[in-house]
Amino acid sequence: MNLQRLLYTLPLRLRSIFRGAQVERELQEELRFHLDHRIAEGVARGLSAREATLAALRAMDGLEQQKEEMRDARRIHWLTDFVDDARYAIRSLRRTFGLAAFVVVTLALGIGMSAAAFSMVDGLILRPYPVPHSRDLVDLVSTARDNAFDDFSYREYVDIRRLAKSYDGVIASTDVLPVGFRRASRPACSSPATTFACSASSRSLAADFARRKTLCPAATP
Amino acid sequence: MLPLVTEMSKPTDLVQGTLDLLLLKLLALEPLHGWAISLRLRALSGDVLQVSEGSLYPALHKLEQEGWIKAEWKTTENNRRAKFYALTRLGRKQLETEAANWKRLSSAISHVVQLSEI
Repeated sequence: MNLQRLLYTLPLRLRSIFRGAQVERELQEELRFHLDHRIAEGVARGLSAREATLAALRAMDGLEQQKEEMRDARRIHWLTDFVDDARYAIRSLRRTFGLAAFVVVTLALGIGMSAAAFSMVDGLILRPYPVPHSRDLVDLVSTARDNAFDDFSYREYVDIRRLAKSYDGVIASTDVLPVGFRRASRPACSSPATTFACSASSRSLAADFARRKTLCPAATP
Repeated sequence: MLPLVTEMSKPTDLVQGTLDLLLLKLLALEPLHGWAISLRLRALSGDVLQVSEGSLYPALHKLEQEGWIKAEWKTTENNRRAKFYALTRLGRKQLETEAANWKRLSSAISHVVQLSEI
């Protein structure tokens, strides 16, 4: 739609939307004007007022259909239909308020739970680790006859870090578990549960692990 | 009962788009309201062409929404409010386009109809 056409049509669309009642009155008035002239013409031809009115109405056959076509020409039917549907839906919901509230709460809980579960999966699994070149990061696991995904001992970790040449660096992590009624104040470094091999760009993680190791020297076997 | 008018071809019986062309042409002459348009069309065509109200007003509103004509409420000589339609600049361009199309189409049809039979 070019600008010149928009200049003519935009005010009409806006008027149809925001002053719909007046537009509707004008539509009625315009057709009434035509009908009155039709009747007057019939009377001038010698018909009675009643006959002229009936003839005029017959000539303007399907008056309501005409009005509907004229409303269609405004091209805002999608909006008026939407508003009508929304009004109908609100009226229906108000009639069965208890059921509506139950459905809304059920939907809200369902959506909330789904969103929470997805957020967790997204944060833990789908998103890459917050390190540069995280796609180069690999997870090393120990494989034994009876356990395909076992942890490494600290010694194994040290050996891997010293001997492995395929990686730019190797770091390990472990769960921090509370002991008894006291929460562990320092990370336990003695038994790395999982060992990560990382790229050169991930050296900050390795440095962090090294720093943590110095915090618990007793953990070194 | 006397028939008020003789029902001639409805626009649906006419060539597609003819009604738009006729309305644009009439409004290019002067601004008119719906009733005057139907009278003027009948008079100018020697009672041959007549558009039913069922087609006239939807067509006028469609032309208005296209931006080809604009409407304005004015008082008639009988002191009644009526909606007068007038051609816009866009409508004038559209009229030229449609008139050219019609000329091409009608001359092609005339050419075929006037072929002498063997």
